[in-house]
Amino acid sequence: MTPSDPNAVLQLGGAFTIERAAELKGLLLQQIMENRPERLDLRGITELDTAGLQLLLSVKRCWPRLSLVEPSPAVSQVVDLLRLADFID
Amino acid sequence: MSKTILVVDDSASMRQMIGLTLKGAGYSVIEATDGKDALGKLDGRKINLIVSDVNMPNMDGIAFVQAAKQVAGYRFTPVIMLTTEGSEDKKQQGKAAGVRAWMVKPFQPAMLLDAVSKLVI
Amino acid sequence: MDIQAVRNVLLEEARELLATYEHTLLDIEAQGLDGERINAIFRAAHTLKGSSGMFNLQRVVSFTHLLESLLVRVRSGEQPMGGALISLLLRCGDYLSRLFDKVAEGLDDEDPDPAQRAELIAALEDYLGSVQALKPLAGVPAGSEAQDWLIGIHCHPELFHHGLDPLPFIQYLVGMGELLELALDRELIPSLEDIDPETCYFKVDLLLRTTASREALTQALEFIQEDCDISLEPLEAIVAEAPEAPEASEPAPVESAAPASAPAAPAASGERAARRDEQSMIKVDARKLDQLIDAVGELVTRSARCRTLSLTSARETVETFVEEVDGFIEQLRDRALKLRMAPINEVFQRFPRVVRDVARDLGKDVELQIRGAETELDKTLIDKLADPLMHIVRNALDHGIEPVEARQAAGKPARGRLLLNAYHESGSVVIEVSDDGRGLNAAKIRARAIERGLIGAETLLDEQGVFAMIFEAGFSTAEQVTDLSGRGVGMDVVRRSIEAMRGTLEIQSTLGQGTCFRIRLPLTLSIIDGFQVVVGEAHFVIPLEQVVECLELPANASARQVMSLRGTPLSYVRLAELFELPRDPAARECLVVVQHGQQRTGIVVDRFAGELQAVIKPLNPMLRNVPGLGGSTILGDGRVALILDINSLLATPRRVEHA
Repeated sequence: MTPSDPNAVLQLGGAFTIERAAELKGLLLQQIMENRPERLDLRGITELDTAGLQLLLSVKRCWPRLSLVEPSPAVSQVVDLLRLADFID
Repeated sequence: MSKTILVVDDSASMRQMIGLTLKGAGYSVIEATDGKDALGKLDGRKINLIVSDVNMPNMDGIAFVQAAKQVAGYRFTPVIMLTTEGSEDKKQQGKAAGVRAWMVKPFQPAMLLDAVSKLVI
Repeated sequence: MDIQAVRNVLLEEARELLATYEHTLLDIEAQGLDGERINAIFRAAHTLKGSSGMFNLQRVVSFTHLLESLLVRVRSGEQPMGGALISLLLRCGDYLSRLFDKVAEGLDDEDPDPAQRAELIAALEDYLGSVQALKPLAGVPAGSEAQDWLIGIHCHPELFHHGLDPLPFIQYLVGMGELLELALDRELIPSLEDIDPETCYFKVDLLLRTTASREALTQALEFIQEDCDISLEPLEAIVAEAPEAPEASEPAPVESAAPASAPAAPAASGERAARRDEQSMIKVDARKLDQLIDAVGELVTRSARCRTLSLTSARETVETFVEEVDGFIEQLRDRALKLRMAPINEVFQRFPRVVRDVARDLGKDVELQIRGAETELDKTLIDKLADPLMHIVRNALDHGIEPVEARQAAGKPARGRLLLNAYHESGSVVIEVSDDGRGLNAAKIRARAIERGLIGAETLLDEQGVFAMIFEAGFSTAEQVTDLSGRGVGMDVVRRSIEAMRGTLEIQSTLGQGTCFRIRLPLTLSIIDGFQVVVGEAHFVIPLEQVVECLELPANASARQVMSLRGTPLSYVRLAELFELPRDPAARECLVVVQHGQQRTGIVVDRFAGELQAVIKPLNPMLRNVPGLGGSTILGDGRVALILDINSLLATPRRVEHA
């Protein structure tokens, strides 16, 4: 394991949807455990549904200090609808 | 990004009517004439919603939905099933296959758009 | 105060009453008119009128008033019942159903069908000879007003597999009105390691202000309703939050105001938050609760069986395990039952308005005091309690509390006092309605009961027994017939309702000083702690809370059915005799001392089989009319035991009669 880099950012992209949810879970777990990022950058997310949102929330649940930044329009739409403004840093 | 809807119906006029309605509302539409044809269209392209008739030659709507649920990338695609009054047994089969959105033909185009808006944002 | 909760009770009640009304009319048509049936439809109309009056549902009140007047004539025989009249009455019921549908939508002032109403009223008045002409209704029909809805959506885990996602539905709802608040329950979402990515953990509560009807909202969620638990609760009509208008000569509508008189003012967000807090009491679907309790019941039964097995195989470990399970089950049971509990305030809160209006109608000055409104009891009981309590309160206002002049003449304060009180007492809930009115006149009641042929002239009755006469069908001492309770919807109905809830009713009264009606109800109807006894081959369960002590029956006590217990005489009965059970006459006998009301009585059985939790099941239809039985239960070994209803068992001295 590499020591955590204070500036490490994990870029997320593509469709965060139910069809890919299982795959995304594995990827997220692996990336976060290996790289210990400080922030998740959401600007590359093109689609977000409930399954995708659940994954992001479950990341926050595990690592409350990990900040989610730069929401894409697809993310903002869901965040606004569900009044989750505090969830994005 | 416009959402893509797969319309499956053996009646050309029905496909046309549905297609026009959906395109008019800004959706992209792919048409298929029966279940078998529709299954062939599940080739990796993004499909946000399927609108399918029940009674069709070759492969009916129920069999198509059951098959689609086995195809990677389409296992969770929402489906609106079109029925006619009095096809209660088909509806039961469809429900067992996991179909939750039903519309009884004939319907107003506005009703279809209303139903679509409940399944895709 | 949650007006909506009461309103829902009203609506539920109205539906039940209208259903009874309809099927009874159909019975009359098919099988002919009898006293019981005409009473049933009359009571339905009467109760509808009464409870609708509380909510100022003037359209219902004025209509049912006519209906009731006609039914009074049918009941007295003045008006014969025929096919044409039955049809008219059925159509009146249909119209009322539609009227209540409007009420359910919050459109209290909207007439579903003015033409039909006019036609039905004309037809009713034809029968009545137009004597009871109806005052024209004031007020304009309301348009649909915005209302706040609390919508809860709790998705089932497999929702995604049906091609569904809750987000578009929420978006759709938002499009129907103004989203005031939304709260997503993030606690339900597991950590990344534990999450099943294809399982839906979504649970959200939203507060939506919309003019859409309940039907429209339900329709919006139609596709996901099978894959979610959805709750849809209208909060109080927004107009009801406007500051109370100064009291005019007309009583101000509490529940719904015509839009002209009270414009919908947007509530301040602080108020909204406060209302949200009031809603922190979660409404649970009673059917789901029943399912939960059923499941617990099954568990209790299994555990009892498990215990039996463990005893026969005598393995210590099994026993320890069973004990643990027992503890757990007991906890589960208590929690499940608590879900059913609701504060009695749900019914008490109807009364300030009722007392005020009724007292005003009667020209009396009455102050209502409420105590113990927070006392909890089973929700089903609360719903069932509303009617009998209403009768008792009306009776107290009508016949108990005297007119002002009479009070002053008697040297009492001009203002009468009515007290509603509730409290818990040894496993029961006690509800009291007491007044400081004229009290019951035992001599007069006795005379009346004899006159009515309810008792013989020589019948010996103690004071309780005399008072109990007022609960007999066909008894009424009202000298002045008022339109409230004087129409003969009697106290007999009250007694029957209370007994149907396994409750008891007693009266304390001092002539000239007042009367207290005391209702005693079990806390719940589902599971009891019981004491199992055996007579011959038969097993019985006595509610544990009524068991005072157990002892061996002294051998010398067998002849007279009275013995001395530490110097106090104790009467006793033999279960074997009451139920004509075969038993070995040589077997020794034991005695269970039970408490019922203020009395103690002994019940003689062969032996004790210990304490148990009994899940109450309905009785076999053949046994349903046997007095003294409250239900049945399945024992750990699979046998059926009968649960004794001590109060009815010992209510009347019984004679054994051979069929």
